[in-house]
Amino acid sequence: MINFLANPMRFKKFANIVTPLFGLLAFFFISSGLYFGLFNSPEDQLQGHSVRIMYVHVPAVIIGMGAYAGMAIASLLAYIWRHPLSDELARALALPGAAFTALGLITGSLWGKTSWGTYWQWDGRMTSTLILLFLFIGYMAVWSSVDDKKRAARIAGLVAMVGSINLPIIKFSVDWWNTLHQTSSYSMPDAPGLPSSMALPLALMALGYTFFLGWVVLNTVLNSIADAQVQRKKPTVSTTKMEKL
Amino acid sequence: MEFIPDFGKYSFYVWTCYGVSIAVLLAFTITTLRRNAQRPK
Repeated sequence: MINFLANPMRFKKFANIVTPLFGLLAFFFISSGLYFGLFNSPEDQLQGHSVRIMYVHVPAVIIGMGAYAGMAIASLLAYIWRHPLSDELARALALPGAAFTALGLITGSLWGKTSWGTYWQWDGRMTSTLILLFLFIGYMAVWSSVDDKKRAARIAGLVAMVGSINLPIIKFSVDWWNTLHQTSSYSMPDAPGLPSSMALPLALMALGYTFFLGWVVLNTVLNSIADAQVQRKKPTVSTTKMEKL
Repeated sequence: MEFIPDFGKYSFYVWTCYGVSIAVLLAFTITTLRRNAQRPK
């Protein structure tokens, strides 16, 4: 599959079919998730209506972490196998990944105010998630500051791969350290800690955000391919200069 | 405006979270669609 999609033309054909489908699925799942999250789910016994923030906070952080993992894997594919579209895929994941991570931090901060009485605490999970945002910003800064794009890809790829060590730190920080952030409420294969009326909007929003990320990223890569094609078609010598020769 | 639920003392926090989330999604949607419109076929 990976080798099949290494060819930009084959990737274009694949993406032209899959991208609108992702867009439709994202719209359906996010709309449903918003409806259930706001209008058709119960308030929590302890947290009251503030539990509804979970339906936008948790998916945002999951997608932010997933985007970084995708960036690291794509960078690894570029490094080892010189997969031609891997750098473009990693680069396409950066901005939406950073946006979802920032969204997770903002919504988490507001949820923290209602639950813990504070917008921020330098505990394991929150600090490591903030570091994830800085890693995204650093990755994008490398791409924009290094003129030679091949060199930029190599350096940025290193940032992505080395920074991926932060992902298990975010995940297990609540288990390793005595943190303010709560432990996982929903884990498989143990019995879920959430009732289905709360698990449903959470699952719908998580799926919706996933398909939305896919839609944005595939479109970004398609635009990169189109830009590259336009660049290749541009004449290297201007026609007026040719006429003078 | 009875169809807008009342979340009591958490209304500001809940609506701010959902408002910011929807704004981010809309920003990406609009930017992507505009960029797609400029893409040569």
